[in-house]
Amino acid sequence: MILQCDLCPKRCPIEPGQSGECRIRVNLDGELVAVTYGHPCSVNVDPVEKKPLFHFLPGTDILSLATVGCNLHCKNCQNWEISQANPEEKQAYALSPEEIPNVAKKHACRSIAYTYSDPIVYYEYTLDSSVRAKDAGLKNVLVTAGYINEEPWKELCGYTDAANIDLKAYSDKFYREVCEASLEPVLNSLVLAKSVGVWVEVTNLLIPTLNDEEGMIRDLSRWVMQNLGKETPLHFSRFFPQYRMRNLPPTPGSTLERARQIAKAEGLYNVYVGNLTTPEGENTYCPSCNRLLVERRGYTILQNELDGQRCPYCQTEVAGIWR
Amino acid sequence: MEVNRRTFLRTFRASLAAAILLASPAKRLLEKTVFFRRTRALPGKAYPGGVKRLRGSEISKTSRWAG
Repeated sequence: MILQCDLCPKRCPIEPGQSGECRIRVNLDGELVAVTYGHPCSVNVDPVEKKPLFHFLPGTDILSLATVGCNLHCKNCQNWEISQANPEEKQAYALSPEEIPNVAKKHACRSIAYTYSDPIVYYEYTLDSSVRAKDAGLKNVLVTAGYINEEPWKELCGYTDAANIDLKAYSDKFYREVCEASLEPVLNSLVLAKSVGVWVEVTNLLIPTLNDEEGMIRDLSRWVMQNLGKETPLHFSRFFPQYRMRNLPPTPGSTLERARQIAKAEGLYNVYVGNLTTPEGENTYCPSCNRLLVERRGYTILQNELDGQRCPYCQTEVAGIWR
Repeated sequence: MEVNRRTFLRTFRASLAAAILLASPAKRLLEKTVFFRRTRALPGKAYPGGVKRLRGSEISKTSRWAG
């Protein structure tokens, strides 16, 4: 019997013995099985700033894990060695959802990130681990492209504290040609996550000639402003030639800085530059008095002036989960 | 007469297409079952790749992967 996986908008029809496009959701004797459940290929302790999350428990470590597989096939994927791998090609660990909170606590992590490839494809593992983490008093973070159907997304968001969601371009053409996906489901996921109380930060990787045109950056910034709110952090990230897109140069620093200025001009308070160290692009400033509140260099917090949730100079509340 | 031949050809083509559809794998698609959240975990041995126990020393500080 052919099964249809309705986890993501691709709705892959899966023949017996075959997997969906994600490579890990397999039709085994008429039963859909996520074969990487409990088998991460990568488990690390990262600074939370690396996700990137700049308004979420700054300066803390986060247990970060991934299994192989992804439902997108971005030509520029930075983690293609695991995201585009078949399960049989990669060594994995045995790590059950029940064990994950203990591992996090043992390494002094206050939160767990499901990241690197895309937690959507190893959905059941992410969800079961998230439930255990909540019970253990830990927070859950998703780093994802947000390409998922509404029903499973809503359920997962119920256990998620924060998410960094890629908005790869405000262009359906870009999603189709570069990622083999489409724009609308991503926009829906962003809005839904925000509406149910997940702390959302957005990343836009700027690729020279493909999505770095001023109008595209303005449209994307405007959409974030109008649909997610002016306090939503937007990270413009630097592209490096990778995977099947080695023909393009790294994004110039000037492009990233220009994007930051455009987004700020559109009214967004918290706009950052990623994958590149710049004098101001990684810092958080008060949206009211514009004083420096959190100074960052790479993944390191150099100073944090915040008084709880507030600017110590003008008492303006700064959006985020700071403690 | 010309019209009748056209009508016949149109009907014939439609019938042929329906017959092919019903006889092909596309028919099986019509019987598809929608699944989500009914997956199960595979026992470690059944994982198609190699599996080993995670040791604390193997958890690196700051991954090489993005994100």
